[in-house]
Amino acid sequence: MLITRHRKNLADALVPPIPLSADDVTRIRGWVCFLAAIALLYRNLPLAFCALLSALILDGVDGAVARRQDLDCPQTDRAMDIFIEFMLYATYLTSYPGWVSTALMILWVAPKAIWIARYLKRRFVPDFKVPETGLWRYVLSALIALQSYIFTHTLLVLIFLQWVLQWDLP
Amino acid sequence: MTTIIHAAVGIALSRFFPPGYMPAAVAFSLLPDADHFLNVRKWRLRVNGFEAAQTAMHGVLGAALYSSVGLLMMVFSRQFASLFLIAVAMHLFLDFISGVSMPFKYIEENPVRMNFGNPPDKPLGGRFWIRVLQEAIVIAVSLVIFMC
Repeated sequence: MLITRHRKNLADALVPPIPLSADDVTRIRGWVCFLAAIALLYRNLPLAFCALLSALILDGVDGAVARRQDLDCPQTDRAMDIFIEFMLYATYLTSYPGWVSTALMILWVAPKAIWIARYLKRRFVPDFKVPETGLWRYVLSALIALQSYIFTHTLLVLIFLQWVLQWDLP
Repeated sequence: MTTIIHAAVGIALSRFFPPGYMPAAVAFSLLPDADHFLNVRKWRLRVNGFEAAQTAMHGVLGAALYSSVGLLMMVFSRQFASLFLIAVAMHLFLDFISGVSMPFKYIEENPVRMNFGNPPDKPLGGRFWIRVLQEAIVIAVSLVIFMC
């Protein structure tokens, strides 16, 4: 929370006036990630890294632009995060099939599966109580915490390690 | 985006897989649009005429369900599963960025609550020329990938 606040303050101070709406900046971020996905398909790690880094910078910029325009559009931003992560992780799995990319995909899908289960429970059987005791409670808490984790950061670090250290992904 | 564009993306994606995978790539690229058939009566012969017939499977819930199915497919064939995941992910991403999807519309009865008290966001589309430009870029990229 503290890091998020400092990041927001930093973005507000650094971002110059931009004649675009926050949604348009978010849209550009989406297309930059599309470029990163194509670069990953061609296994062009430097281009993928630069595109993802630009996307992360744009992620800070769209928030600053929105606040300046007295807008708050976390719905669009959050939805973009989800669709981008899905696309990038699937691309990564295609280009670098192995246990690391599979584990990343599982790490991304598992919180979503829990989210579907909780949504369906709330919608259709609200009175049904799932026993949340012992180890299951901690697993569930971890998966729920992962629901709001930005997975693009992890991918950026992995791509950087592969590119700079010439690391062959297992 | 249109069916033709999704098919073109599927053909382009098949280039990264063995040659026999092209029909599957196109089928998986078009698969999310199958939800339109559930609401045939809402189809209209005009721009965006099919979009009123889409369901939650084009939104965040669809992304979560399709990704879970893709992960289960990995038990049988990792390559086939990755083709499924990438084709569906590209479809949902392109529809979201062109303003077809309203990701949280179906999963939250009160979108204001979902949006921290703010009015719900409009979909990313809106300006027709941006949509045309985006679709032209996707077609061009697909053609370049397929031919090179």
